[in-house]
Amino acid sequence: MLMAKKIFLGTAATVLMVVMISVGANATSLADIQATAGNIRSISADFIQEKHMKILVKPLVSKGIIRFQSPDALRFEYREPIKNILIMQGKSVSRYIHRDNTFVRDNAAAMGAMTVVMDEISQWLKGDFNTSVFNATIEETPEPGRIILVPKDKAMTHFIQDIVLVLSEQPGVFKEVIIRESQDSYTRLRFDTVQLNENINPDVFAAPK
Amino acid sequence: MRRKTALKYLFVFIFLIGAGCAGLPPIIPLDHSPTPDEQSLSHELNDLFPTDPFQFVHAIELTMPGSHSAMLMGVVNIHPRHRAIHCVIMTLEGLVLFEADHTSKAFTIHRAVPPFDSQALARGLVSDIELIFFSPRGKLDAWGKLENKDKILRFSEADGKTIDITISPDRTLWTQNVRTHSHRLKRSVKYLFSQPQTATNNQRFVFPKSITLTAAFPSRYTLTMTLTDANLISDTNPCGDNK
Repeated sequence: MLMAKKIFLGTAATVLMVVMISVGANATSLADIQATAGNIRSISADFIQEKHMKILVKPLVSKGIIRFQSPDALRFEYREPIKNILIMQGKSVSRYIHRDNTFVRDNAAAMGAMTVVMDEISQWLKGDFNTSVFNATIEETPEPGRIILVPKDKAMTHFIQDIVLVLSEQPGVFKEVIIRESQDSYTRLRFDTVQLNENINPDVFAAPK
Repeated sequence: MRRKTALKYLFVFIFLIGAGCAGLPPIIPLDHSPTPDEQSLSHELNDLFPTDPFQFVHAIELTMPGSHSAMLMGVVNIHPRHRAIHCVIMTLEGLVLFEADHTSKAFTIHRAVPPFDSQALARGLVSDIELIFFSPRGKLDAWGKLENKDKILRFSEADGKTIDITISPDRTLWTQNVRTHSHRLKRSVKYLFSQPQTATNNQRFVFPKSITLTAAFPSRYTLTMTLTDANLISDTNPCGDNK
């Protein structure tokens, strides 16, 4: 149960990385997806995050950009409404909050939990979805298909029912990710302006100034 | 030597007792000022506490002793007429850590993930939200000015607590201080408006751009809430959904 909670908290930030998984459009099996993995050196994309809940008058919308450099460097930058940057370098995960015109490291307890799920995420990045935490199935319809990740631990389903990765027509990219917490509450991430295998300055993954 | 040490302890003890029993800030009465009637009082308080049902979205920074802090998102639906609250706290990525309803009849927790899974913490959180958004229930005991020229309204609550609401001369900074029956400061809330709160404001609704709540005891923490969105909601179904 504790592990499930830790994974839930960590997943809050790290599940978003699934956009980086290299996938071939119209992949017919998880094995195909895994086979395609490894061709992607880097990804840059814009994202829009929408939080949907019954209570909300309108969805909560956040916007930002995401950068990934293989094998394990990630920058997840929210530009609005709350400026903050999540950086992962290997096993190290840090969040920086924009305050008084500078970025300050956030030392929230949940950051420790994020490290716990790093192994999980790194497996996803390699196209391996059937991990110790999730069972993965692929659905070919609607085209071009989607991957459904369901927690193996029933306790975790109280926090996350499932994660849906919607494949894009563009090989190597997911169109959107839907994290369903309950019937009435889910987060949708849509990705746009995706650029693959461009050179990314390593400073992007250093602590922001 | 022992006597000297004992005197030192006695001095510290007396100092602590003195600090613990700190009195209320003295109020300078206004010259020829009549007692505020209910209408003028509620008019004054309505500038701070909305009377209509609203949904607020805040970026919340929670700071605890030892430099522990966390940035979260908060959504709160308030129904002042019913003194009802529906609140949600989530991570910046949108995953819900805490969701609860509070009405005069019931307190229901819909979801609570650590560290929000303690009943005491949940009740404290909801009571803080009530303090921030709802006007005091108690009666107005005193009013006037403070030494620093801020206007002050002092309420005495049924449980012996005292609530002081102060308003800066330019009306951009409001504070609300809650003290126990022994006058020990328990909660302090600061409301910062980007423009003065006046009855002649053309805008129908003006809300504080930031609210800072400092809890002194039993737990010490600070909530700094920055407003990101505010929407009028229906009052027909307090604590129901809004769609």
